[in-house]
Amino acid sequence: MEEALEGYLRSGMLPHMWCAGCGNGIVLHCLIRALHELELPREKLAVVAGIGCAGRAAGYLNLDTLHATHGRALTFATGVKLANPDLTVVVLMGDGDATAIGGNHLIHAARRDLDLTAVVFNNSIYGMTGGQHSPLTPQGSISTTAPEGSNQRPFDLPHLARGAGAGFVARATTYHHRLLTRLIENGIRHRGFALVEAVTYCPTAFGRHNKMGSPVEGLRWQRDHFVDIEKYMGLPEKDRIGKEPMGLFYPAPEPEWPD
Amino acid sequence: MAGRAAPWPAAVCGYTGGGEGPVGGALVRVDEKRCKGCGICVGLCPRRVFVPDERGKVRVGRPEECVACGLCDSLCPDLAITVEPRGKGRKEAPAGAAAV
Repeated sequence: MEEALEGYLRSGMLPHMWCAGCGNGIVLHCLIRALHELELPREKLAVVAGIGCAGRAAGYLNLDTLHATHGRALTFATGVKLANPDLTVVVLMGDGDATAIGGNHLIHAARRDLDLTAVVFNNSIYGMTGGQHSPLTPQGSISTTAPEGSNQRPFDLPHLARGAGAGFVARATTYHHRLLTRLIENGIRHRGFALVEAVTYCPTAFGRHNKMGSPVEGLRWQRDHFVDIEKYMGLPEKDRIGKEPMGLFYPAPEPEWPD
Repeated sequence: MAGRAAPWPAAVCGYTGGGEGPVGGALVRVDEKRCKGCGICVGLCPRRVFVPDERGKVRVGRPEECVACGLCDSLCPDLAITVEPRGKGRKEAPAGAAAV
């Protein structure tokens, strides 16, 4: 990691507790880079995190951080922002934390459009508790609670957030780290509720059950399956199978939503 | 790049303090304490600079190949790799950011 960014880390807490190859570290790196690019004074920054693997990210940041209760990171962040509106508040949550345990808080935080930036670490699974199915587990994927493959449809998180009223909605993967950094940066710049879905790979609880291979294979999978939303919109229906859009969903460069 | 490569110090290459060496386009270091040996840098480096280690970690095995693209730094989930391109200015951290 660049020396200029080291100051953002509580280096005594490292090595972190995430598994070898876990994408959460890459998201953390992108977040630090985005904060560095924004050149915000650190006393104007507050980071709130929920529970789960992703929630541990706040513990590694040498900033004013708050490790909140499960699913309630956004509610604590709402309190922080209302108590001190001058603060830039970034909220770190996992997919289960944001959309299941804290799903209600997510939609209402988006509806209120308070100036918060939510970064959702989507690893498609409940990693810390042993690989249970989450609301963002892709249909057909195997988890410890769906050993035959999940038959449920996952949430479409960007559209869920947009439908609830978020003014800035974006998605990028850990492989597309530059895009992810830029989206987090612009999400923080956005005045109002911003949601950035960071697609990460969990080699331990998700990749292993789904025979997706090593962390390198996981990153290659992200590279091959995610396409820029503008390109995705231009694809014929049959070519969209197996692809996922990423990039800035809203405010959208295109007036239409993908199907 | 290879022509400019300086001799690789054995003590560092053998990773007694991470892995460090003056190299073609950049100085590449692996923080041994942070590295968990996931193999992302080994698998994705376009110049195959990194080699897996018998201790389950990674070392900078072919430093002279480095072209300072910085992919390993950005994709290292353990925040363990530093790539310092030669002769390029760096952006400083905001005031107070360096205090731990």
